Amino acid sequence: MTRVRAAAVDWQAALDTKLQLLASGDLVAANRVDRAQVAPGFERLTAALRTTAADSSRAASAAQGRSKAGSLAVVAAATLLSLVLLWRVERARSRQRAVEARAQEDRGRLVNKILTVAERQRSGMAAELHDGPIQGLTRLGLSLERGQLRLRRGQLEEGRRLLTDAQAALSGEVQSLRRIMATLRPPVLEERGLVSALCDYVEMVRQQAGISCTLAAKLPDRLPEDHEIVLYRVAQEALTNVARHARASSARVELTETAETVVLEVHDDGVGFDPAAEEQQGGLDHFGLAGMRERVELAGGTWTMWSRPGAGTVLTASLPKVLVAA
Amino acid sequence: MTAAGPAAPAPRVLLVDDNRGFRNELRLLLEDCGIEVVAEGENGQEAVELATRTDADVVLMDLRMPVMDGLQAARALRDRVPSLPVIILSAYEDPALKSEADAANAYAYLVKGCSGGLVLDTIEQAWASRSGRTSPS
Repeated sequence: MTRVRAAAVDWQAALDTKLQLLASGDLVAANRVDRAQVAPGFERLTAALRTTAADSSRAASAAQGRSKAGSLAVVAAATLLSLVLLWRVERARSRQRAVEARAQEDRGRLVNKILTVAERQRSGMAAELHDGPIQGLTRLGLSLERGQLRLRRGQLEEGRRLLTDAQAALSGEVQSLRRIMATLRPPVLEERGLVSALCDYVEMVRQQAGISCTLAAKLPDRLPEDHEIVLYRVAQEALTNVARHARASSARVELTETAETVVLEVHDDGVGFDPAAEEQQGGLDHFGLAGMRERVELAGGTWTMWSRPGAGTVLTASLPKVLVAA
Repeated sequence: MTAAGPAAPAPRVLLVDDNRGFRNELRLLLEDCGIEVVAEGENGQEAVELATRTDADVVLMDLRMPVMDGLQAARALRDRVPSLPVIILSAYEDPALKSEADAANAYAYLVKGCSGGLVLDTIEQAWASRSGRTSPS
């Protein structure tokens, strides 16, 4: 009986460890504990139960001649103990099923979130193509037709002027497509890393938006590729908002590290806003802030925003530090 | 291009698109081909208002616009001015949108990037169908 009790205690301890790991989301470790401890523990428990039942039966037979009542009491006690143990096994299994179902639900929610973010990005890209190159190239086609018409009518000077303008417009459209391509996947990010890519982007904002934009980055090593992309996108979205909405004269991007995190901050000295009031009006989604926050949280980080009317805005994204040799 | 010269009778067009640059270029091409642009709008709501205030023969309208899109405007025009042909000129080559445009009684659904000649021919045909001179293709 002592053997059964010891096996039950060991098995339950292993099962508790597995359930804790499942609840924390560490499925790999939970499976390892299951294979190494829970399954063998259950085997030991059932073997101990079988041995105890056989022992009880033998004891009952041996005692048959001596005391029938005594042997019946031994069998009844063994049966009762087995029933109690089986009930505990069943209870532990249903707890395990519930925890696994919750983990499955969490995984489903995460997948949905990833799909939603990807879908939002695709629609943003479709809108950008619609409003940019498609309109520009269609317009260029019409312009070339006008040039052709003028040339056919013998209006050579006007025809030539239209063709020259069309050539310049075509260069502009190629530039615009290059910008979109770089936005999709800046080559510099892959080749030279986050700091170089941010440096280029800050320079572009300075030139195109006419904002005094600076970068202060202290990061000696490369981050994992997915973390670099997340932080780059946050900076990109934040600076796009600064250029479009903040009416700022200067912006500052800071990239720093602590012992455990890498922190990106984007400051501006623009008009700012009341975050609570904006959120009530559903305005945060409009500025791409919801997408930004989702990206950071999906990468295991945290995202915060501070703003006040007339006092600018500060966006902060922190990711767990995992460095890769540069 | 088959448009008539400046002196010949020509359709009057209401041009609606939220992209000003594209609208300007199309207006210049239409005018070069002797077609008068009687008014311009930036969204579907303006299209509906201008269609009832001007003497346009044909509406040439984008699909994706702020305030009111081209399909909503085409449906409103079908109810208010059923005799006015509407040509949708969209960036989307999408059969579902074309079906919706058909259901809204649009005369034609053209995809941006088609030749200016096709736009001009379609305007001419829509105008002719309105004045009962030929049947639409």
